[in-house]
Amino acid sequence: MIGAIFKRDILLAMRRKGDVFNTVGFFIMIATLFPLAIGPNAERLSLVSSSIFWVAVLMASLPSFDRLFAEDYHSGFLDQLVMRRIPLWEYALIRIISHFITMGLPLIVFLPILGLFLAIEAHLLPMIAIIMALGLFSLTLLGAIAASLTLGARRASLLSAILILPLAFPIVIFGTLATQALLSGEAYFSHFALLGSASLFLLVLSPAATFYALRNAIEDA
Amino acid sequence: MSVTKTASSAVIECRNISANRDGYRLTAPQSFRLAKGGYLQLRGANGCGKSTMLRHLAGFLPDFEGTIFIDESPCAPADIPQQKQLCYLGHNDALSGDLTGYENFELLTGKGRMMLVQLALYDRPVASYSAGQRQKLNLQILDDEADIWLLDEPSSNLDDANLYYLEERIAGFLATGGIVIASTHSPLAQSLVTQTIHLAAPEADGPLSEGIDS
Repeated sequence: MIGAIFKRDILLAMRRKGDVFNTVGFFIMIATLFPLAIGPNAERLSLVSSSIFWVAVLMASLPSFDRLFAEDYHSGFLDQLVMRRIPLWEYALIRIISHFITMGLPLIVFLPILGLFLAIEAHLLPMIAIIMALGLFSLTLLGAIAASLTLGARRASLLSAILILPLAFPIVIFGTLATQALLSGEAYFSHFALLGSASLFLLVLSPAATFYALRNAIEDA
Repeated sequence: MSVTKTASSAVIECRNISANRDGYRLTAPQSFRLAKGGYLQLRGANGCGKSTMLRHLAGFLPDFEGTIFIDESPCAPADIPQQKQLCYLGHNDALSGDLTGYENFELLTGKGRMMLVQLALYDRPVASYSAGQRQKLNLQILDDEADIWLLDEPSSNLDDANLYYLEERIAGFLATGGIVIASTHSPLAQSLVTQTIHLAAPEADGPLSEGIDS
């Protein structure tokens, strides 16, 4: 059943290409606004490019987290999982992974375009992509907690954004520091390792927290 | 589940359970006893707590008053799904509109290819189905291997042919020793009903004196 859910998520993402394009379009738009505001001066841009980049990553991924559990919750699919004794933490984890693949990876694919806007040197892009992937995965783990906590609430998307943003600070900070160090040719590994530890911490915490939040949401249905 | 029971012993018995929602009692306390082949119908006006009662029994809403006995021994509400294989058919049909009928069927039942033609359903995205078609597809969740079916107005959108199909499924399930608890507004396999409960609001409608939130 868990494998079937993963298959379903990939299938649904292929059918709902609009969702992916919205997220990617939003990502590129945010990153484009800054060069327009600051001006096309490459030197000035490179000073702030890593911060702009991570703000764009955070802002573009935030709205997508609402889609993590809302549909399955409202359709009664979660009820059926409970009836079949499928552990909700397993379901949560598989949703997080499939969301990362269907929403996070497309953002990474469009990284070179952003690199162009933000005057990032091409040979640094692969390493930035790895840092970005780690950051996006951590954000998705965080997003799952917020999305499950706000299930059934009115104005859930705004509420979950308010919940996520303060908790996302460490991820954004470590991500920005790592990217900045990489771009300026300094040692970036320590920041990268801190980002990795944050994501490992969330990997342990998130499925458990999401499990309890989902359980609670089903009781309120 | 493999424990053999005599026909007279109750598989599920509820004593003085009432449907509670957000600290309010929706119904006067009710009791019932169902042995294998038992079919309980919950009837009553809209909002009298039929759906809530079924969600209590499915273990989704564990905060309620009264006692439940499974195989004659007391059972905590949240443990019912552990003790008995339940099938719950609610108002929401757990179908994804962007998946086709077959894809939904495969996901929910884990079974291989089924002839949708047998159900006279096309393998189109479920979003294009009518309410009755969705309900008909949703009936495929019903598993004859389960112990108890909890049906929440399963026939509200069905046409005559599909109502007949549902009644046949219920009859077949009861004959093999299954238990059905269904809420309904219209007749549904009436000849097989072993017990009917008419739910009504309690006389004093107000917050429970003892907090059920604790």
